[in-house]
Amino acid sequence: MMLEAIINRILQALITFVGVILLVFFLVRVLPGDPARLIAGFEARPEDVQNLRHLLGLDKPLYLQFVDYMFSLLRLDLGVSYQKGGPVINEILARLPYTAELAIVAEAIAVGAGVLLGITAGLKPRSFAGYLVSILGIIGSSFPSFLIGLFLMWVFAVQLHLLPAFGAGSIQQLILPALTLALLLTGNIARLVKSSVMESFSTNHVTTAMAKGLPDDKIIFRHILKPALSPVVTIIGIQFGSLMGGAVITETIFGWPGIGRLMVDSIFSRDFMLLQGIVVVFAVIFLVVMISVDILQNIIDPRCKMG
Amino acid sequence: MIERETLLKEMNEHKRTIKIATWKTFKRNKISFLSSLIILGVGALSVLGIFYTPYDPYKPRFSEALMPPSLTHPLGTDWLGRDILSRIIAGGKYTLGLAFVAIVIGATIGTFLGLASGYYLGLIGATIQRITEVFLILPTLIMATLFAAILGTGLLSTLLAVAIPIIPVYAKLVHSATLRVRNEDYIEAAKLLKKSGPYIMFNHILPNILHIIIVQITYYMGTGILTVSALGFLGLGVPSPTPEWGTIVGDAKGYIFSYPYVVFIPGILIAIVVVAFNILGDGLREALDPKLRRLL
Repeated sequence: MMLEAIINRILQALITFVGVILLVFFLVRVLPGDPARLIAGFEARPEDVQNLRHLLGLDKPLYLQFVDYMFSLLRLDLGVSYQKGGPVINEILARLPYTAELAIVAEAIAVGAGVLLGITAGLKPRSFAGYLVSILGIIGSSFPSFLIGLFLMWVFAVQLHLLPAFGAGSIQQLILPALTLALLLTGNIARLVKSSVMESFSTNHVTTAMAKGLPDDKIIFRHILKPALSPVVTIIGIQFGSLMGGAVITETIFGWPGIGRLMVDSIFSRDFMLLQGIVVVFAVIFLVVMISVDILQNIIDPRCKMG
Repeated sequence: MIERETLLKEMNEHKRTIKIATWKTFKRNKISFLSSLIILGVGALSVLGIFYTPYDPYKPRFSEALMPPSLTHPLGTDWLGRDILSRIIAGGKYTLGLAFVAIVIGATIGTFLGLASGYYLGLIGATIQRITEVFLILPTLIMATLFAAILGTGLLSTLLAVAIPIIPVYAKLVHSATLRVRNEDYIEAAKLLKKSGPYIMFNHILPNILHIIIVQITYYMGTGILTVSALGFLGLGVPSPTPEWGTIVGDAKGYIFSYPYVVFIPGILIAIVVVAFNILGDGLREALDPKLRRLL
């Protein structure tokens, strides 16, 4: 049953994925300009450009080009970068670890801080932690990510000289971009944990446990914290979109060489093969995360049935 | 006959009570009332910016470059000597105006699609649903960036880049809202009276889910402002020297080391307006939702 549901979910995701490729493929083909001319350079002879066009299959009808693209995707071939001349997949693989590092560290900070704050605030809603949760929630949902990033840069790099403002490679350089991204996510996680902790308090089994005289720490741990944690997985899935969007901005501010910044660079250098490849990779990552979240949820809380 | 008249009178009375209760609930929520005042104020300033700014927001005056806030320039000047207050007043129509028009266009098209897919469940509905899912896979900002890349920088392309990713969001929202009311008795009654599909959608379903759409428009105004300014910040939105607020921050970010207020003033203003829209959304939801509204 379980396996069947998972396979079903993956098949569904594959259909959506083909749709995304179709969308991106045709959107990028609408663009003005001749890719063969872009690759060959503006001094190239017309015959050479024609040859290159043939070589890249750009003289074929559009639907055949799409079929070709789908087949090359199966071989993990995302085409050739107009700008760099090398395979797009190599460009992306060189940058992907940076984005992964940034995203994982940010998510870890956000979940750690969010769960701790959420529990504290849930146990004592009118405390400092309670107000902090509300403030972080407002920052995460309403502040432009570039304001958060530039503010952190101003405080920690310009005023306090504690951390470097740009670049990648050391842990010090990771802190500011990771904090920026984490600030976008923490408030929501904390808010959710807080409300589920408060909700657990009013359930019948907690009242019963209290009436039976179970020690406080046992009630808190078994009946309040455990059920409060399962929605965290859901919110990580929901927030993943803003994490990726935030990465584009954050990487641009802090000169972090991930795929978010590569995407912006590819637009400025009109390297649309690279842009198309990056969007396809973003879609794959997104789908994989969504499916994993669904499966994880099913394991943690068997009440959520996969549809 | 008399019974019918009393009934009608009572219905009107009830409608009036609901209107008053809606207004009272909204007014009682002080923070959301304050938020609506902030939005009205900033909106009025932006409209004013179409006709009047204290200084020319475009013309450089190098002799007055990078002055801190003072009496003559309440928010200071930027590196070209342009008055920041004037640029912000002049920029409101881009940031707020573009977000507003984009959200209204996106929400309108999305609402039509959602109504149709929720009402006609068969092939039409399924097709709309599948296309919507494809568009929803990519995060709004990535989607907007992609469209900005394809359409180029400028007012119209920013408008479309913000509006298009909103369409599937609304289509999905309205689709599920439509599903909730489509089997109600009054819809069945309208069907028995042989009313056409579009007639039922617009006269019976839409009025019953309108409050959801309005509340979401308020929330998405915040998202729209964030997307417009994020595109401007990245250099993919309204191009400089147009004083779109995100574009101002993007242009000024190199000055963060020496003149941080050039960066932070427009940035904080964006934050304040978006916070106001989100709080207003909460207040409206409470006031418009019959379940949350406290009838007095």
